[in-house]
Amino acid sequence: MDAAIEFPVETHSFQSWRCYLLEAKYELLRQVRQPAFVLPTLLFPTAFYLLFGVMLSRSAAAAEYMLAGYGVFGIMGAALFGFGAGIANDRERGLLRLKRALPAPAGSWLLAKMAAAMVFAAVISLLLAVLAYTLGGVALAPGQWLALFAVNVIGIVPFCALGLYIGSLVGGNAAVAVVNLLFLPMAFLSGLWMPLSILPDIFSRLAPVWPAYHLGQIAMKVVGHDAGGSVWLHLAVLTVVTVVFFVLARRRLAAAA
Amino acid sequence: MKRLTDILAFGALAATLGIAVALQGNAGDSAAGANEPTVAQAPEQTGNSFAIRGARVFDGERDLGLATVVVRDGMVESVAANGDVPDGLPVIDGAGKTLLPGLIDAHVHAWGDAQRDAARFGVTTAFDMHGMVERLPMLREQRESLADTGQADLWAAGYAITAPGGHGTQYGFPVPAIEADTDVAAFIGERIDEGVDFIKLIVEDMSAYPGAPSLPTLTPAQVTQVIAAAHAGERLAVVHASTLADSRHAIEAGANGLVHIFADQAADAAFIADMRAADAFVIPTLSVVASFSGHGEGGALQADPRLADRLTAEQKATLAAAIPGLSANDRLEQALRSVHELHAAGVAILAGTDAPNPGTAHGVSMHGELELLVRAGLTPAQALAAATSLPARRFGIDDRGRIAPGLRADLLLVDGDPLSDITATRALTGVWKNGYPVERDAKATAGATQAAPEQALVSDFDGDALEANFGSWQPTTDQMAGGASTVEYRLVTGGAEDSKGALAITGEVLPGFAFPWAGMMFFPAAEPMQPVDFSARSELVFQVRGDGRHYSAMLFSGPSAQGMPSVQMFQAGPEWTQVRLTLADFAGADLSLLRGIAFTAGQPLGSFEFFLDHVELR
Repeated sequence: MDAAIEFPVETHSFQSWRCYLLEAKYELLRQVRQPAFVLPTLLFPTAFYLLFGVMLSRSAAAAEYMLAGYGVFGIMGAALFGFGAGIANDRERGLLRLKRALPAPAGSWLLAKMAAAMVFAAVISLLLAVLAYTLGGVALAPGQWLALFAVNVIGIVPFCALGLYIGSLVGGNAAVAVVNLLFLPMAFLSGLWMPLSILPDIFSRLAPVWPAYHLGQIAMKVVGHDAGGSVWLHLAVLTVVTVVFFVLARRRLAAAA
Repeated sequence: MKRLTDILAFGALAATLGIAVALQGNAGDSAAGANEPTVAQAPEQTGNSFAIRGARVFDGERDLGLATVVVRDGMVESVAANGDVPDGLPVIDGAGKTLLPGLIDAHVHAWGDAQRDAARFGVTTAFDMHGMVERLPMLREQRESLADTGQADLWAAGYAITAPGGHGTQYGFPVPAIEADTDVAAFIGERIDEGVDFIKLIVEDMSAYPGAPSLPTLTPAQVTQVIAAAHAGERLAVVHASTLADSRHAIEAGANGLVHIFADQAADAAFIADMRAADAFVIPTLSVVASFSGHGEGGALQADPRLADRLTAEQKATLAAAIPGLSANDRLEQALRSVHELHAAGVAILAGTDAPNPGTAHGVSMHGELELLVRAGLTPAQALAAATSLPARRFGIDDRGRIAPGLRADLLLVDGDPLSDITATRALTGVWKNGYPVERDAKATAGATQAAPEQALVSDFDGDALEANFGSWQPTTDQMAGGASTVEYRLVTGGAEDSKGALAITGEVLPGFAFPWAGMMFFPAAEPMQPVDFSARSELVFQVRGDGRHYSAMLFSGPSAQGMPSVQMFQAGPEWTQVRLTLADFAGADLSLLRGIAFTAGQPLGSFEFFLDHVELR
């Protein structure tokens, strides 16, 4: 009797695990087969870093600062574009509705997209690390390299949430524009491209309104160039941002269905 | 109901971000507030007379135990085991603390905020090993005065002695060099006439650093001649050499000391015997050796909570800087071994950092150097002597280096006992320069900028040498940023309005840097890029004539010496013309922290010639 009940439960859990895995695999494949997504996502941060962090930088300190900044900039792009534009397109083409009708666990597509974004974040992080180490003269302790990698990979989550919300809000064409409108100014005003100290004081004071600032500060803290705020404050802000945008996006997607 | 959830979600987001802005904005303020207790320790001291009671005193040579030190008018008046404090003097309680002589960093390269940064970390005197000579008279004046400068005093080598294109010529300012046919005695005579305190030679062909491109350097015969000429001029001769062979030759030629420990191998018995016989000293600069061996010692200093709060952005940057493409190696271990054996044989070791080279910073690195010396086998007391009494004695300085009656009251008070734990020197609770407490908070000292001198006239170029009524003039080109532009200057007769002389500036703007420049720069303070408060002035006025090109007046200002300049253009026509530039029109400039004004040619590429006269800041 007991065994008869247990059996289907186990099968179910095995299948769902496989569902998540397959979903993630095909999501990644789908994105990798879109050079128009892959190339800008990977080349943007690396080319910028090469230019500003390596070629035009006069000190290793600047190269470190920029390694942290452009890492966050790069993974933010992967998350915002992958989610914002991706979800908007899927929604427009009715793919989300189709997914909902499929006998797959609810939310597997969401986790798949997140996993794909994490893979991109990991690649960006590694590319920048290689450039920084070989060309930028950046020498970090092994723990610092690992921590920076972890910040970049885990740090996509709030931006996935933000992207998800944008994707739930507007259509595919508009999503790219909205993401760009948010992404570039936010990166600049969060001090990811260059230290905020070159701007008037008001910019440093207002920078904490940008979620990217908080992730950027955590990454800067790893290399020792942060503005001295508490890491708990940054984590708290990022958590609230994640929860709020997931809740909002979920409600909109549910309403749309 | 649904809308309510949305509103709540957005509300939570707005509240969080609002709190983040508020908290982050306060972070800087509360950090500044945290320094207040230390300031409050000497509440009554305003002048340069006071007493410290109850502290253990290390006088630069010996541990005197608990003693009372009385300072009057910037000088130590008495040191006594159970001395009374004269009435009316503010008393500082030294219980649980150790009083040390101000530290002497025997190897630095000072510019910008170096002297202030050094003093903030307890280095009240430093020896500059290579730099421009225009500032030498001001440095001499400063170190002879008992004024409340809040800065380290400097003894300086002026230009290091090197070969054309050799090490030392790459820093963006022109350096006179010894060619194959130079009359060495006359050349060194010129350096001594420039007012240098000692002669520093550079013997560096880079052979100690495999893979690095080799550099031209002085020949052994020239080294011998330079040392002889320095001694003939009654100056010490100290030598930068990176190999054992070059160091051996320098000592055999009579050099008084080495300013680095060599990098190619450890010291051998014959060399140690030579050093002993010659009674020569070594400034091993273990701090920079550690950096060159890729050990990240600079980062460790930066992480020390006793030091971290007071570091400026610039100090953090130089501490964190690494030598590009460097892999970890055992140079530091080898250097520690050499120092250990030299010290064991009785050779004098002096503490020096080579700040601000990558991995080091002014002031703060001295605390790392002391720790490295102890690691090399010096006792804490010997390491402290290497940073106080020994360098003073070796460089013939008799007004400092120890705590004794009649000497200058350059002092530091630290929590704990550095004689048992050398890192206790980092727990600074007070620094005094000339008996005045040194403001150790970087932000506060940035505000306490030097006041502008009274006269408006900077230079009329009517003298025999390139002089300024205050500050100094120096050539500047994009070579310091990797460019190739060149500049030459000379004083010519016949200035504006029939005045006697003018400054002629000629050169060529060459490709090599994105924003090429070449010209002359005026620094208003004793040190290049040191800020002076000119907020009460309104105009930069000068006479100019030239080849018709457009030129830039670039004004460097603000809290960082690495900030971008603000620029105004002017034209140099065939006739003398007066140019009046309103200072307020230099966009973004902070006139209360004016660091320098450059008169330069830029794009288009090509040669240029212009003349300046009667430069004023009105």
